[in-house]
Amino acid sequence: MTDIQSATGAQQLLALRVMRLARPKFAQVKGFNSDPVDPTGFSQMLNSKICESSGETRHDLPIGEYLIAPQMFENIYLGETFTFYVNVVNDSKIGVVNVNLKCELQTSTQRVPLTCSVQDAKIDAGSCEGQVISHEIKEIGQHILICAVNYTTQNGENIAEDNANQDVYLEAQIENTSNADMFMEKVELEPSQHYKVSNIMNKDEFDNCGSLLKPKDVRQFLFCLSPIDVHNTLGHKDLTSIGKLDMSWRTSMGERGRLQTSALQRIAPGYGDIRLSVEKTPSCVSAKTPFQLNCRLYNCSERALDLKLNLEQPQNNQLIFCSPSGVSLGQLPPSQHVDFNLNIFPVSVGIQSISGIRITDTLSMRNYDHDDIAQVFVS
Amino acid sequence: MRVSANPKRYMLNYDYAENQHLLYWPESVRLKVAKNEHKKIMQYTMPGVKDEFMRSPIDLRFQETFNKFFGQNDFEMNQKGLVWFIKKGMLEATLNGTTDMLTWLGQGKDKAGRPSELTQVTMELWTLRFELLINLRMHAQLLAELAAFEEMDAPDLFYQYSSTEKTGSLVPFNLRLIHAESLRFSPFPWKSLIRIEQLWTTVETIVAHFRSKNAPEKHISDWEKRLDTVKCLYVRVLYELGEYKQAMSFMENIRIGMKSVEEQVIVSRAMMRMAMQAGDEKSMNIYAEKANQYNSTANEMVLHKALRSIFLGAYSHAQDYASRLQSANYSTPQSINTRAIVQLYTGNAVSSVETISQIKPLLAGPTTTNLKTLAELCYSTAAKDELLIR
Repeated sequence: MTDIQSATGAQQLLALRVMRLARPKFAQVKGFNSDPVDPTGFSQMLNSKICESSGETRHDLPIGEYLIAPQMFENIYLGETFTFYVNVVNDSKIGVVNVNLKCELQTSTQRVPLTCSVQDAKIDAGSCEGQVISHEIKEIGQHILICAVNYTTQNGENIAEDNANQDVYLEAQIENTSNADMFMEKVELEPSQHYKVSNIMNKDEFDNCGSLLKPKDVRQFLFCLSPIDVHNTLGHKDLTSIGKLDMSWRTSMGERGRLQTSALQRIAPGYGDIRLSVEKTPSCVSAKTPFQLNCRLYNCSERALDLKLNLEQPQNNQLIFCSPSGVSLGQLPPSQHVDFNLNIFPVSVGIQSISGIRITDTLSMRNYDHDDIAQVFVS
Repeated sequence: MRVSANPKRYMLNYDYAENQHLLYWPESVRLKVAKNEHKKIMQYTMPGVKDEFMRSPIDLRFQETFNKFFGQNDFEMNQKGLVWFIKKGMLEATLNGTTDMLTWLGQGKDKAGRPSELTQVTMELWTLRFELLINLRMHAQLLAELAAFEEMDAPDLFYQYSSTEKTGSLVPFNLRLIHAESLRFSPFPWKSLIRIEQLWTTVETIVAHFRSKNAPEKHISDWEKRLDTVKCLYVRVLYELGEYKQAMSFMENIRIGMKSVEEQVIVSRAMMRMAMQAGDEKSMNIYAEKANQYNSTANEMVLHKALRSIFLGAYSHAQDYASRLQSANYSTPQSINTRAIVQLYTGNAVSSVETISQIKPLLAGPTTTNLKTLAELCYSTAAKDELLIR
């Protein structure tokens, strides 16, 4: 509770009282457990006397039943809502009129005016006029609450990015930097228009409780972002924005906090001019039995390409191409794709990697090598 | 000291034979070793009042009454004095009474470490004294005086060490509970959990022992009640050490195992409040639902619904519930206090002071603190002082 008196030396009729309305808490109880079959009877007597004088019905339980109003201003954290009760008390023996209350919250960058309903009010002697005001804290650093009243006398993340294939995995590490236990109510990724998101979560052992984050604890959240249009990989330049991380939490007695990050950016993989995508391949094949590999070639450049497929037999000769080499794939305009199939003859058993696909642009005479594009298990 | 054999309701000198099953305790390793060595009887436990904490101040108006009860070594009169002062809620005076009685029994100031007779009465007196120390939050003194009892396993703490007629432990079960929890007040609070776990295991062994011996049902049920108490102690200490989630998990096991529906409701509501205090909305809703299943219209449940609304920031709903309680003439100090808090959060500070003033007598603790805080917000200094004097 803060009592604001006049800045001038003159005796003022009104006093401004400010109390932060953090959520009320349950008062501490003098916890003790006693023998339920104590042969002396003293424990039961002492127990009932303690209950009688404290008003609590039980002292063997970890928590009491009495709410207690906030006693201190305490720290407030980014994303929480600062709520306070401001009261104008007429400490004098004469009434005052035209009472206007003005409240502002000054931060390091700005001065935020807060809406006050105490305007042109009349306060009789010994009476008071006040209101509850709330403001969401969006800045870190010191905040100064400035209250003024005039009248006439009558007389309160680290983001790491990982990517594989078309999917983007976002790992968010959320740390509780406050001094209180925190229950994460929501940690969601609001995806940008190009993605759909799935949350990869681990379930707690004791499912009756929420997601607890103790002070200084760090919890990792993993999200998988998949492009909505899987085939529109050519437009990857538009896929840099992946979305916003939105989280909300509660601390003691339901005190709420919420934070939303700005749009998170990913570094788009550089595909170069062309991108080879394996569309279909068996995961397991039998040795000395040919199988087929379906491929798709994208023109990721901004010019037309005249493509030729060359197949280079790997030196280890574990997989042998049975398709002709030097085949023309034709002209491919920008942002278009062409499909082709390869027949492969597996010779050795084990996990074998498919390499040796060479694409040549006959217009620019550039070669594009594609190795280790897929693996198959040969049994 | 003169000890009367007359039975009274509150008796430090209760009858051994009637309560023999309550005094049962498995023999400690130290006792077994001592018995095997066949040496002469020795004293291992030598407690004494620590002089630096000798007397607590008591209200001068009651000094004469204190002198009447504790003027001389008269067990009956002294015991009456203990009862009288506890009933008056004067725990400091009761503590001074135990100091005098222990002094007359040779375990007073400067007697720690010196041999004295350990009897049922002295052990019960120490237990009462430690209970008082806990309630008076005199934890340093508690730890200092409790140290003489070591791990409660000394041979002389067993009847059979020096007697052929009696068996069992001289250590009252209450003292075991205090001993297990006491380390919570030491620089190593987590060690209290180890002691409580040991106590838990021993009590489970005793329950199993009584069952295997086909003991009377009352004997088994008495020890089962003690087992429940140890479990509750474990949960409470866990919670107070900040282990909310573990405490909830253990408490859930206790709740499920309860035979009484009434107790289940009380524990469900307590768990709901624990969840609220921690900020765990999911758990709060689960236990609100469990408590609600039994009796959704009970005034206590309506009060808890008001508490849930406060948690959710829905103060107008909380006010509706508080009004329902008022209409139903449910005016326990808890409900009035909650109504006052809701009024504060809905911008009616003056009304909240008026509401909390309705608690009569105003209880020491949360309600008095709230009254001071609220009065400070909306009363002039003079008016606030006047209100608090009233």
